Amino acid sequence: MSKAFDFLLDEKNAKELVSSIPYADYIGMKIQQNINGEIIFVLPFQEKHVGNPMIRAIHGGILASFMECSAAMMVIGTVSHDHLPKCVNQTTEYLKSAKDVDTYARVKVNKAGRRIVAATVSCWQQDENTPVAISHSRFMVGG
Amino acid sequence: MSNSSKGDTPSGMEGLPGGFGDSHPGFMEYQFQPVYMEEKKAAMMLPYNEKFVGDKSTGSIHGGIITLLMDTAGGMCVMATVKQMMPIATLDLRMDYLRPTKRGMNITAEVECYELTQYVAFVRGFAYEGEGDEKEAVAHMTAAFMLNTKGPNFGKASRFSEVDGGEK
Repeated sequence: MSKAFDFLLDEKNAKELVSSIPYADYIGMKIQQNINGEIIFVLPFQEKHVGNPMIRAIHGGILASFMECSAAMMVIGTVSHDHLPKCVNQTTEYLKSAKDVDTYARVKVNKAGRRIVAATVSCWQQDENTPVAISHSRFMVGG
Repeated sequence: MSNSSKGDTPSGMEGLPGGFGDSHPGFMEYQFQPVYMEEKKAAMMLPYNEKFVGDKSTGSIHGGIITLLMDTAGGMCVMATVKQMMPIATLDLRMDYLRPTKRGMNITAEVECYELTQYVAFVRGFAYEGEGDEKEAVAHMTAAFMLNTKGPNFGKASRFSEVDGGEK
């Protein structure tokens, strides 16, 4: 595992990274490690995430935000933690409504180019095999 | 919080999504303000707030909250188009971030529904900062919404019961 990747696995760095981005801190996301040592992003449920109060579903925009933040942090961990990557664009596909429970995300960096990094994020609640949403995003890195 | 005052409810908005105001935990929290809602169009404003910042060094707003704003404005636009508070769901949403926002600037999302089929509504729109001649696009959105999804109809909630559509 690369040196940059170790950066995210360090609990103190992970906490500092989240708190360095006010919006990531605001939605209350966290970086965790699963038993296989992989990085998993967690969005503990909060009342303010509710988008549809009648079925108590999490707002699609909150899910998209969470996935964008997760991807950005993974890009920081994978490529460099000197500069904040800038999101160029993101496509989010909503597969099922997200309930009022904790949400998890796993990021796959598909290509780490010199200027553009492409990542896919899969987001689930109870079962990783039935994701609630999937997103594809591109980031500008460096400078 | 820099701006917590709510403007007057625009005409045709009574009871429609802007009217979520005090009953909707999300709307209360993000301080979204409906600007207008007319046939196939809707606009919603996000007052600048430090807690939504994505880059501390520039004070620019995080893309995530712009996505949240545009998704909400998109849903509002769909309801303005079908002229009822039917349950809808976002199928997919694409955001293009054109430029970073500036510190202290409010963001306004203007969304239009460019196609409506039996089951799906297609919307697109821009998020702007500034007003009038100073207006500058900061993000672009395209999205598709599924119509009449299962789930409670917003129109059945008591405060919306007398509403069956937006402006003609």
